[in-house]
Amino acid sequence: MVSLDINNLIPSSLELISISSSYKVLHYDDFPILFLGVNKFGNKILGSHLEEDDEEKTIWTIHSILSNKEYYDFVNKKKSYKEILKETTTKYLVEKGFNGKILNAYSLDFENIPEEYQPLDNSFCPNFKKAFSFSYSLGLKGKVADLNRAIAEEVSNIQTAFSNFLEGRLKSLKNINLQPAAFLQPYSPGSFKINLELEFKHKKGQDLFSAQIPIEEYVHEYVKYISTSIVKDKDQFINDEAAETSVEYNNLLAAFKNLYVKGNVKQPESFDKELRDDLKKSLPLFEEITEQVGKNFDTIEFSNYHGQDEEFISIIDINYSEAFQIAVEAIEVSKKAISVDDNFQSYEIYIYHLNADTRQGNAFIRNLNDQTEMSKPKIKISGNEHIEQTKYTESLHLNKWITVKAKAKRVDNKFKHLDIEYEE
Amino acid sequence: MTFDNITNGHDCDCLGKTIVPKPEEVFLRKLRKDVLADKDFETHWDRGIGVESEGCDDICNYKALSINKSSADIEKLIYEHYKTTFTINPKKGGHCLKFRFKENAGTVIHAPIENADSHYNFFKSDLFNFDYIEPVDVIKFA
Repeated sequence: MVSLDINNLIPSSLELISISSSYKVLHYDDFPILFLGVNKFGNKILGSHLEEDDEEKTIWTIHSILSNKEYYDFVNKKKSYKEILKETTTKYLVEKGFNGKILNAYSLDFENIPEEYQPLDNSFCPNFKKAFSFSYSLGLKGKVADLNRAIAEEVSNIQTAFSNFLEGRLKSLKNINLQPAAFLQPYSPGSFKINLELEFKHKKGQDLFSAQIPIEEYVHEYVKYISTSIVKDKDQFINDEAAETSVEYNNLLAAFKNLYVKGNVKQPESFDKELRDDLKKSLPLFEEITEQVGKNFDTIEFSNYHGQDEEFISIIDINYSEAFQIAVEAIEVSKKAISVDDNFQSYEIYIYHLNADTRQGNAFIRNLNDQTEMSKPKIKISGNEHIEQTKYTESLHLNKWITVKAKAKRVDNKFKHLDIEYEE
Repeated sequence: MTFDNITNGHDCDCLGKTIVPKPEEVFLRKLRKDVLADKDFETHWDRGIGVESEGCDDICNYKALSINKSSADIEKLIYEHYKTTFTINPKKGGHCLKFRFKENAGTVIHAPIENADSHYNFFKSDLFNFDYIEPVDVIKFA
């Protein structure tokens, strides 16, 4: 029996701590020892088995409601269960009947857990099997998104970039010859979710093996890697000779190799080179997604869906988005000729996106070597003056080409950045 | 061997695909403490857990006992599984019993679970008691 004095604990709402979907057992040993789920409000819950009481016919568990950071820190083994239990302020002692029904719940402090039941320092998340699928959801959270609303232009940019990103990954699989198409599904609340279904067929008639090719797993690992680890791995992409590769990259590489081994498809000469090249190719598409973060919502959470159950992949916020954009620029310029203007020059641009608060945005500009092609550089306008009702906002709202004074950064004749001098 | 305790009260075929364990086969079962006690070989059903279940998978699982079939090459892996339990809840995974079954103890079926391919379900015969197992060792993880 658990030596807990529940008289000192404050009863809690059962709705809040009950798992209503996405239930997954992380470790089973006679009982579900460690498990995950989501409550009816969409909060992530991490639970563990504490004890059974044969006399009272009850089972005691702990349910913690995790923030997104706590969740990903735990499942990615950055924090142990003990650390999570110590840090989270929303944890509950849960009393269940022997039929599994929740009877009572009490708010809990770590110190309330008897010492002999407290997890050890090395109580990291066990490896667990993920449920992959071709149903993707991008959950926007914070600011306007928390009102179940989103700016149409941002949603459109995200879904176009993510569709192109997904389709591009499948199209570029050498010798597998897939014809993918990403279909938009109805939006759903919580806070605002963009849903996509990825479908594909084989280019060359009947395909005997595609059913066995673990493409869902590969795309899942790809999204996870590009949205969590590529920033810290950027040197690996700047210097192709780098001998050290990260664990996260190696996981993705293993999933990539599996496509060919399990599908019995002719293998590329170098898996490593093929994957690196494709990652570099996909960076600008993912960058377009990161450029939407921070203005009208704070985060995007990527997940896979199986019916009502959600398999969370990763979450990006403004910090990761900015770091990602810096990493992409560093990777892109590493192999190319860069030039930066010493003095301000006149350029003709058309601003298609501008944040009046940060004075940053994007514009179209014709390339120097080929006037029929355009770059889409980031722009930043100097000064502190209001930019409403200036030529900059006129360009934005009236789709008008304007002349600005700017210092440009170019990579292989393509404009990457314009530092614009404010003019009234 | 009779199994009235397993077959009574439902129409599920829990035993159809089970087999009699060989006398040389070694199994592991987690213990509550460092000595074998009656409760260590009680099934969930014996304790009243899940007795309201209606699906055959649930009923058969609740009427069986979780054990792991061991061998020299996977023994450490099984210990790792028990140790994981121990790190999450030290009260629940401190010890395990290494043992062999004697004749008429019951039947087993391979029932792999995540991270534990060696997992078996053991269905006790009506005669089962500790005389039907041969303890080999008690392993302590603490």
